[in-house]
Amino acid sequence: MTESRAETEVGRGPPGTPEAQGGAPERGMLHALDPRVRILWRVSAGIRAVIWTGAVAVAEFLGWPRGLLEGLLPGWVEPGMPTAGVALLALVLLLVIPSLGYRRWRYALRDHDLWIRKGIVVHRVSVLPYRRLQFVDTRQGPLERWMGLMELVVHTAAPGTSGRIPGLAAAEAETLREVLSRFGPDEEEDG
Amino acid sequence: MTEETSAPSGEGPDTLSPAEPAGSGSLEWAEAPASPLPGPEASSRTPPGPGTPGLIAPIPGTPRRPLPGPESPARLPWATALLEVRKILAGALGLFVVTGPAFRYVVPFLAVLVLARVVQIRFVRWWVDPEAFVVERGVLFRERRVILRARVQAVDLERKILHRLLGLTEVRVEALGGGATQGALPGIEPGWAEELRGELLGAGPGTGIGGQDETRPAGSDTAGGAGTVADGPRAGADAGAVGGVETAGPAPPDGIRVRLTGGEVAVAGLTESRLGAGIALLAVSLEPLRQGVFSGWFGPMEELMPVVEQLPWVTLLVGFVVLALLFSMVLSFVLTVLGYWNFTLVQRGRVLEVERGLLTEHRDTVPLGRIQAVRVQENPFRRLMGLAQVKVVVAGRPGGTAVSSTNVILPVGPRAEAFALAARVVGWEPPGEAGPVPPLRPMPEGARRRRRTRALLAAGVGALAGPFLLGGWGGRRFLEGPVLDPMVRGWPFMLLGFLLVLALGLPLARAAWRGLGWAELGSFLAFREGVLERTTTLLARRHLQSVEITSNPFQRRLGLATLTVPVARPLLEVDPRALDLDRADAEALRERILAGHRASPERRPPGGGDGVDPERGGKSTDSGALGVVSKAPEWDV
Repeated sequence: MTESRAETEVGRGPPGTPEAQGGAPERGMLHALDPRVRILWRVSAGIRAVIWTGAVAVAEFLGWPRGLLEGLLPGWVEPGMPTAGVALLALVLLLVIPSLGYRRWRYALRDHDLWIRKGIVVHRVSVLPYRRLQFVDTRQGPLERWMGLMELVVHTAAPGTSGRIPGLAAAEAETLREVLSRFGPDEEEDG
Repeated sequence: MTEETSAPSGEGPDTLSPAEPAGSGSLEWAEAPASPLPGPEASSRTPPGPGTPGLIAPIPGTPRRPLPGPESPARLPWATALLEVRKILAGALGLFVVTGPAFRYVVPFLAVLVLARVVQIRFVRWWVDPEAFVVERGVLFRERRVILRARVQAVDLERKILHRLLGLTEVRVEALGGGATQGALPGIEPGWAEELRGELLGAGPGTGIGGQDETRPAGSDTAGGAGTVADGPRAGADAGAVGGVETAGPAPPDGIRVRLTGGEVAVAGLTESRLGAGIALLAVSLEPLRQGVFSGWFGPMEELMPVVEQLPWVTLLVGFVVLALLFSMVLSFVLTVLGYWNFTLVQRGRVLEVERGLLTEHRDTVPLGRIQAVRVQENPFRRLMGLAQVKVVVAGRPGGTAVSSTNVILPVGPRAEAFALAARVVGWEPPGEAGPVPPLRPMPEGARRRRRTRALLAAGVGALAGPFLLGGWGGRRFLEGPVLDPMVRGWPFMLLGFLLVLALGLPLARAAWRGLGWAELGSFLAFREGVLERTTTLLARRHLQSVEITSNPFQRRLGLATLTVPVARPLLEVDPRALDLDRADAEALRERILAGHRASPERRPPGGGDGVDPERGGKSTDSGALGVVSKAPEWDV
């Protein structure tokens, strides 16, 4: 990758935006998610991993698909290896993906729009003009409640718009929600 | 009602024919052309009729009736219940075929089902009040759906044969929100259906009055407001007319008007390619064919099948493809002709009306301002003949690729005319003598390389598959023998497979790259993609809801990115997008679009056209809350 490409904002933040050092969301700054979101992601990935590993283990050791798998698996596969493999893969993904995701995730409150960057394999930068926001939600699952995190979801009239910022500190998310919902179309009309 | 709001907004230049205020509620359009008396209560409804007599007239013999108001809601007629019961019975017939004698156990449940449906239908009540169209339903749980006039996206009427026999019309009032129709009446009196359509869209405040502040929350950002004038005089005349509600009279002299002859519809049918449908139909019909179900009808078939089964399977594959093509042609020809018979497109003031259909009659109405984007589609057959189809993207309506879609505003037409229509509908004024086809810029070289790489990869797969598929003897050896041996014997087939796929893939790759294109046309955008069928999407910048740039690893390697402009669209439609733009170009384009989007004058409140972005003014008051940096950042070009 050449330098000029690396400089585009798909790699960084929008040009000229200083990286914020934590704290409340501030306009004109580039924000990372709350670092604890990695723990949140790991825990939920862990739950999924346990479910998947369990499913494979049940399938393998209760012998239900044995007949099915017999022909497909090469001879060197010992009993227990599929389960162990799935568990190992899940563990690796669980350790790696949240860190990568956290590193990619950025959002910025630009003058007229909300700028969101995410995506590990497929990089995605979404820019949502404030005036297009139809409604702004905050969501909190049980884990998030426990950790004091909150997800902010921003909706436009387009079904294809993905405005979702997970892993904000609860207070931060609520401030953001209030601020963003104030940029309703109506306000703009009055302004 | 919001008529008051439109008056002070003073959107001057978009009046179409100020001399033509609305007709009163009871005006008969067919009989009172060009003599619109401003009724005592001066309803804002537009009589769609007078301007274009004979094009889309009300269904004959259906006197218009004043619509039911809140004090006297209407119920669905008994005939509608009959219609719905028929649907249940049709399902039951299928069940009967499957279950045979055991069907009698189902009968009691069926009776309950039928009864319940009749009661349900009879419990539906609907009416129109000054602000909204209301449908109330439910026996135990009453549900009332209120669709604000301002939120109505389109009103589509449909009359299947049975509807026509029973004297009914199905009405679908589309609003934003999910894939399903928001306000559906399975069958009401045709007179009322027409009246409702006129009432909600003819000049209803929904699309017109206060085009700015009411329509945007609905997400569709009606072309309303004086601002559209900036997009060109045409925009002002067509789309911008939205502002002048009371003035929406008969279609202006240069209004859009298209009528397809029977021959043209036949051409549309012949050039419609529905390979997928053809394959499905063929696959479905092959099995009974093979089992000799039709042998009574087609005597020789039985002797034919064993012969067919002896053929090498490459021949079979070719035969299958040819048959599938034939099937799809017949199928799409029939469906197209039935669906688009008597196709008529008329612009009446600020709404577009489509009338079509041989057995099932359609009358679809959508305000120009509700059209988010227009797609010109050219499939290979049509490209050969210089023809194209035009489709609109309207939020709330069902999307998808049905053969005869409500969203098609031109089933087939000469390419230039198709593009001209598309341009008019979105309000783009093609500059000078350049013609209506937007001049597109090609995608960078990297985009071509990506497609070529894909062709090579496919050829690699072809090489691996070659010995198995082409090789007969060699292929079998490849499977059985030790590795080296079949490699030696199989390589001609590998080479053949590779070359065959490459010979097909490289031209396709080239076509795919040539199919790509983009253009920024003032405040409009045009994107094109498609390998065999090219789709050009044209949209006004103001319809964007957000802008996204994505890049996968392959794109990043080549410095490419995809720019998507999500709009308020049906779930099954694709958002306008430019595949494989240069990444820096994509980012620059995005910032230009966004800057233009917020600076566009149509967004300004009537008094504030002094170059100050109203949004910014409004925002600074919020600054405190965020501890805002108020300097203009670099990206704010």
